[in-house]
Amino acid sequence: MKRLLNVVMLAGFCLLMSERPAHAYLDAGTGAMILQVLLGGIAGAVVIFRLYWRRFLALFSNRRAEDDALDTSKT
Amino acid sequence: MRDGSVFRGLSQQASTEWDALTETRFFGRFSADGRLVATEKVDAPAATNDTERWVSFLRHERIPFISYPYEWCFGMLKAAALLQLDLLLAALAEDMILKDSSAFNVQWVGAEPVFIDMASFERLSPGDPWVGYRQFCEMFLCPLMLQAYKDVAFNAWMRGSIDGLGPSDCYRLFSMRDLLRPGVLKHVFLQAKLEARYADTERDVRDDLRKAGFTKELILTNVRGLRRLVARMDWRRRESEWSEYVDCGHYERVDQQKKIDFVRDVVSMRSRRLVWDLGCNTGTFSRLAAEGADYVVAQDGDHLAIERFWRSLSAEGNRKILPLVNNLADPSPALGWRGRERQALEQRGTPDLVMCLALVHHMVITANLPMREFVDWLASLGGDLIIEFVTKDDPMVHTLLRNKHDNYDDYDLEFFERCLAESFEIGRRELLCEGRRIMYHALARG
Repeated sequence: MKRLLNVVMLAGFCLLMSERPAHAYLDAGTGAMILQVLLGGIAGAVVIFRLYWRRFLALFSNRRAEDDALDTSKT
Repeated sequence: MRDGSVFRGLSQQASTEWDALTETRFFGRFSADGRLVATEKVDAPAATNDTERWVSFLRHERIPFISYPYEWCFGMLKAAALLQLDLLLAALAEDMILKDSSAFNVQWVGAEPVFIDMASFERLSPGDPWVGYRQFCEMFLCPLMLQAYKDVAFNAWMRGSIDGLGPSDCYRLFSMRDLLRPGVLKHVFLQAKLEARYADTERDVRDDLRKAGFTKELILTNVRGLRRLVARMDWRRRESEWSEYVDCGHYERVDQQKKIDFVRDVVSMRSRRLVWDLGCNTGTFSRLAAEGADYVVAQDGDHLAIERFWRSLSAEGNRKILPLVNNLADPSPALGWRGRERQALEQRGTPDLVMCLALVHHMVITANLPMREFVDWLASLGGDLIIEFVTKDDPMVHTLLRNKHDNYDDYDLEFFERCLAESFEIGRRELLCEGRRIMYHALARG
């Protein structure tokens, strides 16, 4: 359980790695809402997975496309 | 406010939520032990013009004296936070939630916290997150962390902003080492970063979360964790100038007894509705005042003195003495929108007896207030006065004047008595410490 929580926290850090500077008007607490999922243990991990799996998949398929393009250029 | 009761108008939506609240088990439990302010649904109060706007009205039991978080000590803010979380846990168990987490929703009956905002309760919509989490961090968690982890009192920060201290500012006040302290990484660092990360998002995250299967269990996990975190927090300062004052032996035993007898005699002359004890230290004389008064508001600028006093009052479940952190040379002003959201100290009820024991020299010499100004202010409160004047022959005044040029010509016994006589009728007068300290009972001029 503890280990899983750490994994969830790590996922949170991974998300932060892509942080961009924000020049926005007042935020309604979006960050706080997402944090509640990160702090939610196993149930939170499931929600995070559902929230982000499409994005991860998209990322993966983009990379595949890029790799393929790279391979083609080599030959 | 009408006829000594507090009324609140409810919209159709709020009225439905109130009905749902009264059907829960926790409502009865928390109301019975006084942690929820006594409230009943009533017909429209007489002479109200708002019957078209509101569909129903609540009448609340009156809180003896309204106070604000920036006037509380660490233990009081912590107790208020725990009450907020306990109510939230109890509400979640019955599928209700507190929609906000304002510290102003907690008030005090003596040393006991009481939650006053019934309209904060609403039925939980499945899939919704706890919207009040961020506000809980701003108004409770970050201010408590600042004091527990950095030994910086939260009061000035809370008074400086009606919204409290947010995770982003709190994070900037913390060092790398503080990230290892309980709760900082999760609730301060991560929240500050996520706030920045998602500030300009155009996504409806609330809707996204609902679709991804956000459940009540996630809120419960967070709230239980916060409760454990807050319960463990402690402010560890051990000494301050005034918290040790009683033990310092400024008085011979006989003089201390004379002072106690003087105060007790005046207090017992007739019953008082509200007594203010200004410069109360750890509350020896506030307790005497409480023997003959309905309610005592004990105030001191020394946070640790008030912390100790509150802890002892809280341990005994005292409901008559409210201790507040208040620098009398800079008392709480009116704050918020147009200065109307939070009232200045004097607007919240004036005392019929003010105790001002060994305080004048601090106001005049330490805070540089003119003597006449200070006595005029005391008179403006409208009550009788017990005041102790400490002459320049006293070692305590010597201490205050060290390293200072003595240009306090108005700090003079004769001038003090003249100022006092202009605004009050001087009753009993008694010398202590071989005449270096003088007690007065001064009566308000009707």
